[in-house]
Amino acid sequence: MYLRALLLLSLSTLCLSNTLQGTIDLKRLQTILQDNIKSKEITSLYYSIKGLVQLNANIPNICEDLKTVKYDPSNIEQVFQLANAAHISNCLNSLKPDILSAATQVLDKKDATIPEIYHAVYTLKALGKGTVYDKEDALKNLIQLLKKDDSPANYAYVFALCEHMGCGAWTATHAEGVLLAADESDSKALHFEGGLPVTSNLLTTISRTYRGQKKPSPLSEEQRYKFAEYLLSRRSVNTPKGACLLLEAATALADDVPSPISITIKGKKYITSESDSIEFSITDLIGRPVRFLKAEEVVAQSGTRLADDVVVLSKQPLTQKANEPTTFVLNLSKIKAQYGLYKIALSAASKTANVNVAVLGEIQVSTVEVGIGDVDGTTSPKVTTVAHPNKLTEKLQADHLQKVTLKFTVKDKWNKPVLVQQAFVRVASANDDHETIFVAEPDNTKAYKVELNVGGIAKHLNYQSGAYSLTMYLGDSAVSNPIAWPVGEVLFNFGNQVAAAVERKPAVRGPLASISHVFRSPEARPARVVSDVFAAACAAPLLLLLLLWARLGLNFSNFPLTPSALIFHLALGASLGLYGVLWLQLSMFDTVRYLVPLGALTFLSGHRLLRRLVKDKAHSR
Amino acid sequence: MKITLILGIIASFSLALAEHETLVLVDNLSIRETHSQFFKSLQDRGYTLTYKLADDPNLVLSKYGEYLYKNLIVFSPSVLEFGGQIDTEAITKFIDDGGNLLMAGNAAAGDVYREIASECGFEMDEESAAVIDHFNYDVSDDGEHTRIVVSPKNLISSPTIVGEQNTQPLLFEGTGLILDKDNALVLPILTADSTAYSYNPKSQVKEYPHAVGRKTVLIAALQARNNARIVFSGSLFFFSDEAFNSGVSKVHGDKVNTAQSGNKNLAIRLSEWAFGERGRLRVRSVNHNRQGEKTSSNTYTITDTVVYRIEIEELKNGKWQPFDATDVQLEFVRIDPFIRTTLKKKPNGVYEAVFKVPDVWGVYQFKVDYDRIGYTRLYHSTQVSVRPLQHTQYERFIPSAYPYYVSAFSMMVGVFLFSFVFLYYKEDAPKTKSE
Repeated sequence: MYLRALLLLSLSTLCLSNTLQGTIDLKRLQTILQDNIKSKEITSLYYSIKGLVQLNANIPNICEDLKTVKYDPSNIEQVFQLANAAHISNCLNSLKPDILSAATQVLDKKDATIPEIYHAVYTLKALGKGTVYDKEDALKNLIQLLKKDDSPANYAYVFALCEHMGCGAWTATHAEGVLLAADESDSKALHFEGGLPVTSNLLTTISRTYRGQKKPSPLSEEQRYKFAEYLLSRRSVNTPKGACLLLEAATALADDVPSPISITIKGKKYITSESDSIEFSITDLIGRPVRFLKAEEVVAQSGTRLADDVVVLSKQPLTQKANEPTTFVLNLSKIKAQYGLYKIALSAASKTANVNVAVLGEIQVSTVEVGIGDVDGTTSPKVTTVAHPNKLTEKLQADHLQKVTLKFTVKDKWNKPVLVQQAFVRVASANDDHETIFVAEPDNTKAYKVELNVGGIAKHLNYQSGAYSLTMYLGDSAVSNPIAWPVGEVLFNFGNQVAAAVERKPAVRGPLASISHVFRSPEARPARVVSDVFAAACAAPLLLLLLLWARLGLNFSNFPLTPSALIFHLALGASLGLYGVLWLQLSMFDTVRYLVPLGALTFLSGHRLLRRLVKDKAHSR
Repeated sequence: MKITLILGIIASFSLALAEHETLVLVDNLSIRETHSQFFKSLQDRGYTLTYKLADDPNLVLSKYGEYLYKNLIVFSPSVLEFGGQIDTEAITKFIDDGGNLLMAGNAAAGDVYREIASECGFEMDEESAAVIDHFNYDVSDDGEHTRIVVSPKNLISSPTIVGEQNTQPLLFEGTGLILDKDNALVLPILTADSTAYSYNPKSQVKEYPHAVGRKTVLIAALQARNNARIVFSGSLFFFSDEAFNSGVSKVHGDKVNTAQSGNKNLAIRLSEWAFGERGRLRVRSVNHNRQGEKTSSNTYTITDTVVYRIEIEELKNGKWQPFDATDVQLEFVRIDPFIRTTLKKKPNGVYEAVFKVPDVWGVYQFKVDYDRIGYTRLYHSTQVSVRPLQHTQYERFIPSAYPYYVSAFSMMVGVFLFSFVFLYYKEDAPKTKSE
């Protein structure tokens, strides 16, 4: 149980401490700047080049880019950026002359604001015409303007102008007041209204001015850490402007003596019995070695176990790693056998940081007993014992009336039974499609046991009888060697339940099975010969009739040669012929249309013919 | 003319803008900075992000019945209750009305998260439970083995949602989700390994954990029936700059060691999918006719051969382009489908099927129901009637019916001839008798 208990306390790496917990990665900032040096936009270009100069990095020739770069000549800030970019990169020749007039126009304006004045003056300075501004009057004028709007941003500009005009003394008298106006967030970090640009400008100009005046920086130690904390929170900037401003401010803070110290764990935050030392990196804000810090001053003041507050070490010095002035190594071989979390108070000179370190232990499991017995427990189970890395030699079989029991004990390095957070047994189908995980439960003697009731687990495995692999997972946060042990395979037979199981198919997305319609098959027809013979047989009576008539000898002597007789027979013949045509091609409606007049004609002429025939007969009698 | 043109342009602009209006709810504004790369990638793609504190009392999603935003990002796990007019109900309604939601929590996420999750068909594990994997955790882990390394193999196999180039391991730290297997609309985007489980890292496993092994879903998605999309991640850390930039190095097992995690790539792909930049389909045109004819018809005769064409387009890089697939199916349905066939792909996103109408008449529908993981559901149906043969369309000259034809015609000839015999025959015999 104790492995677990040790972790009940919070694991937050660092508790309250008066050092920084990170550094600003200059390499990352440099990549951002270098990626933007060829930018077509003047703001990105200016800040990229300014930042790279600060880093002393190689600067490509950008004179051609400056000629083509887009800027707005009426926007004094962009003009300022262009002029200064040209000044820094020695490309003043590639500038157009109109930017000079843009700057002088701003200075001639009655109602120029402080930022405008700053930008105009520094444009002229970059162009080599910096003496325009008269010191005494100018300062008075600026103070007047400051009265109207005394934002930190404006103070930053005025301080910067003062640097140019040589009124550093005025800056020195006002800087502390301005620093007091910084906003505090979470009582941890300090920044000025306006965010990173204003904070950066103020920090850099103030520290530059004070250095010029050979005075110690007005920042108190607390302020320094708080500003550094703010800068750290902004370390993920990704614009060239942000990168450059962050870089300048961080360098300004780091160059001030004493600079804020950052203590972090380098690499792993735990020790095991094999590797029993922890590396710390102790640097200033931008990852440089801390000045005036002697290696002997880095000491682990105390080490406490979090679980029971037992002090395990005190005043243990750290050793500086050769060739790496920022890396200090703390050897913890004394406590490597006692698993758990430790709090270490580390001090570098006067600063102390609390760091949490985990001591990880090894676990081992020697054997597992796999028992197969009846659910009702009438017969004693058949037990197979498997030693740790081995697998079951034979495939065990279990049906739905049996249960499989796994028993094992987890031990630490010294063969003492321990409890771990994760003691799971995974049952997975042979093709790894389905898995079900069972939690092993410890008894009073810390022996773990899982019972797999074969009939009961069937529903988790889709009632598919077959081979299943058993894998044991043993792990814990204080364990350095989690164990995944494939124990072997078991054939599960779920019996008739297969039939009983109604497999519910989840709605499938994807192509469905194609369906084709089965057309009604045509009815069977007799052979052609048969139908021809029968056709002839059907025609035979007519032929017989004609033959008999011929034998009898017919005469049509009663035929009256009148138009009605002719028309009647023609119309009757035509009607019968029409049926033939209907068969060959006409539709029923067409046929009726033709038949109606023909029928009328047949009726009228037939009526007339019959009347005549009757009359003739009567007459002849 | 000019005015209408300008109005049209303005209208289309505002439409395009409305597609990109996004509200971001955060715990504190520093999330803007800690997750800046993710937000920047959205801004670079044209989204207008409005950041608001999640408990801002002036929060509104809609005004005068119109939604102000098309997409909602909730990155505020510690919120207990949303401010203003936003609550679980409002967010559910937003989704019902077609809005997209991207939500990320962590182990400390509160009940509001759980409520929204269950409205969307997921279940979030209990408060303070985190996904633990003692076998696959990163070196940067703080000791609880909750910052786990997930192999890209555990991603859903749908390039539309997760993109094609997911080869880098992913970092995840947060709570696990549980999905209902029977809910076909819910997709497990990323699942944990068999060795993982979701539990409170500070306590001994006493009860069976809610999510164990591969059933532990880390990121889930839902595409509702109205094509609104939801991506729900158990980890807010997953989207952070830290996770984007940091390398991955597993402590145990196979030596996974890469300079950069795959989080950035996946997070951007997921946001593209969630906000409808990928996987959107539409029907451009449909026509059907008898084979060999030009004009469309809404009546077919049984056993006609019919040609059905559908033109489908997919939204790619902001433009509608021909859709490319091989598994678009057409159903010819009268209550039940009589025919289901895979459409043949023709150039320019046209899909064609040629088939014979069944010999059963009735009212049918041509139905294309293309519902694939990652794509919007494409549904199109056209109703036509299928009638039996006309009396003239049956076979006229059936060989086996010749006996009937012959009898009919012989009867007609017989009648015609008999009419002469009957009317005009003159008997001789009575004369001789009288004589």
